[in-house]
Amino acid sequence: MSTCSSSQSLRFTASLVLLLALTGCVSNYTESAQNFQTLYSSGDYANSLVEAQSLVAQATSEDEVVLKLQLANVQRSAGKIKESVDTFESVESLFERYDGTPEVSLSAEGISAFTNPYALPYRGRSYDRIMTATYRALNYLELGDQAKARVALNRALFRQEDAKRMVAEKERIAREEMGNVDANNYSAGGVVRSFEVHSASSQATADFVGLPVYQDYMNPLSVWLHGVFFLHTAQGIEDVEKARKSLERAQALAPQNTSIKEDAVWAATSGSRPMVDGKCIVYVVHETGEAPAWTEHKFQLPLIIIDRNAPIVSVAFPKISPVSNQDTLSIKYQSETFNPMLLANVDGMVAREFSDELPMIRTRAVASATLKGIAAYFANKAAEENNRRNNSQAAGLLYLATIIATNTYTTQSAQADLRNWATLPKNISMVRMVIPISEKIYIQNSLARPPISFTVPQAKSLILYCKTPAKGGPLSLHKIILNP
Amino acid sequence: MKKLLLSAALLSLAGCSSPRDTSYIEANDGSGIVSLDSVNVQDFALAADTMLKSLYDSPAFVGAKRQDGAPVLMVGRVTNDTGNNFDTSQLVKKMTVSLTKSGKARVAKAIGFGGPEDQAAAEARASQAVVSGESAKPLLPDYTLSGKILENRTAAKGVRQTSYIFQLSLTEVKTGLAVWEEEKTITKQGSRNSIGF
Repeated sequence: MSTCSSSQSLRFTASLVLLLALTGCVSNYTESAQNFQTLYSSGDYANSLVEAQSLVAQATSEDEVVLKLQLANVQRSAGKIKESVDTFESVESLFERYDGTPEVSLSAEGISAFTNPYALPYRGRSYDRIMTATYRALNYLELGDQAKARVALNRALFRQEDAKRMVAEKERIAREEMGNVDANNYSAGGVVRSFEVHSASSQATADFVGLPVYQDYMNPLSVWLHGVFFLHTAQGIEDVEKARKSLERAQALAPQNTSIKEDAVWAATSGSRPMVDGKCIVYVVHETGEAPAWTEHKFQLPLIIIDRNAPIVSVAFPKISPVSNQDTLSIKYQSETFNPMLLANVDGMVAREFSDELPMIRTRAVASATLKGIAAYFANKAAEENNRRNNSQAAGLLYLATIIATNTYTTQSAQADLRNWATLPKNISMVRMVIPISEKIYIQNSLARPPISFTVPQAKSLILYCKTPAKGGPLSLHKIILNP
Repeated sequence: MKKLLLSAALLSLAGCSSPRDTSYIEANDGSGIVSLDSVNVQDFALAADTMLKSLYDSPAFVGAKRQDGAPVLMVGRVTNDTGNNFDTSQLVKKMTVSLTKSGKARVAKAIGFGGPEDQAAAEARASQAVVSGESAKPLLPDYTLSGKILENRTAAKGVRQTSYIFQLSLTEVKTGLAVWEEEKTITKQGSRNSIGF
């Protein structure tokens, strides 16, 4: 009798210990990033910079990459290019460190302990890595360091090749983890495959329709920039050939943008840098809007044990939705008006990679929640048994408290990982113009403000990189000389 | 249950590792850290050794003497066309150090591609000319050394391969013709498996 009682007591204690062990820290990442994001979206770069610096100063090693990406972008938008270069370099070092360490593939036991996705480091998604290399190139070009811009643009191409490999790796890990869950006979596999779970995960990207799917995870901005850089800074015929390949790829990725064609034709036929006597080839690139918003979608899992001690179990998936606040831009030269045409749809890149990650997210979140539910069930059952044996008011209260605690835990502890590079734009568009040197062009966004005038300098080619974070927001402008 | 508790403990312990003792190694004896995604110091050492051997074996500098000594070499552009930032002088310096020591060539410092490598030497030379009342004689090289470092990546069946291709050319200024060229490819392979918890 006493053996049985001590065994019951041990089970009860073990169940409570397990629940405590499985309770991860609830991250306040979203709350802390919210203030920064609001300031950034309104175009208040000075204050968002202060906020981003403070977030980086307090960052845990798990959040370091994502917070530094935000900081580097706001430094760039605020015109602090050298600081942005340093921050992006620091992020690159972190990418390299993560590239040298293996991805984590969780066993069933690992998944059960996987309560808090924020406990795993944010290693950077493929589109983060490609955009990092691209922004680094733009920063170096703005500082006049073409040698480093060349290296960064090569890196951007390699990152696109890596993206295909990373997708295959994630697919393999998702399969492996699902196999681990099935092999442990915890019924969790059935829940992962249930109608409720599949229906909830299909909601995760339901707000997006008709997004472009870029072949081989290519980023049209990076590919185009690679092309125009190697064309306008060509050191030999090999560079012009590189430019031709990239420009033809960019043309295929953004067929609606007719500005790419002229350079592609030039690269295929001339074998030298393009130049027009007395005129400058001006590319106006417009980056606008915000990347998809990440929110949490919580729902109740189907019960796997029909018993009054079975707790209600919730699970949280990330959900992405488009943010429709992009701006338009027009450029006037004399009586002509030029409108940049779509070059890259960032929503498309984010949504695609998000969908690729979803099977792994689903397995981890649902299996973890199910196993937590089973542990909570055993804790409740042990408390009930304790109450039945002792039949005292204290034991009854303990049973009630356990039921409340386990239900609170299994419904409230579910948390989706919402970390993402939120300062990326929604769209990037571009137009090519040939303007006489010393002439003025006028650039205007949708807000009825006096347009910004820009005098074309003595150069053979340049990029005017414009940014409006939201519709009617302030217009910032970066001048990048390609061929002086 | 035991497994679950054990895994929780394992996760909390993850990341602990014992530090390795620090020691000196030779850059080109193969014991250095090899990374797949960057050019390591031993890659430069290996490439420079190969290039120098090829250059000394070639007739490039045969009969190319000036009245006042060995021919003058100017270092031209060596383009880093890889995806990694590094200073190309890690290759070029090894070449010029060896050439200078061997007496095969003298390296021009007061002139150079994109400006003099030694600004102080260029300014001192100009000052000396002013003091002596003579205009500084133009420092013309007999040869220029230029090249490119390229990167090629590929992956198959979980194995990644990166090749770094070092290309150098020695051009005779008088004729504009390359008198020596060499290419050295260094290929590295590696895989990055996932780790199981």
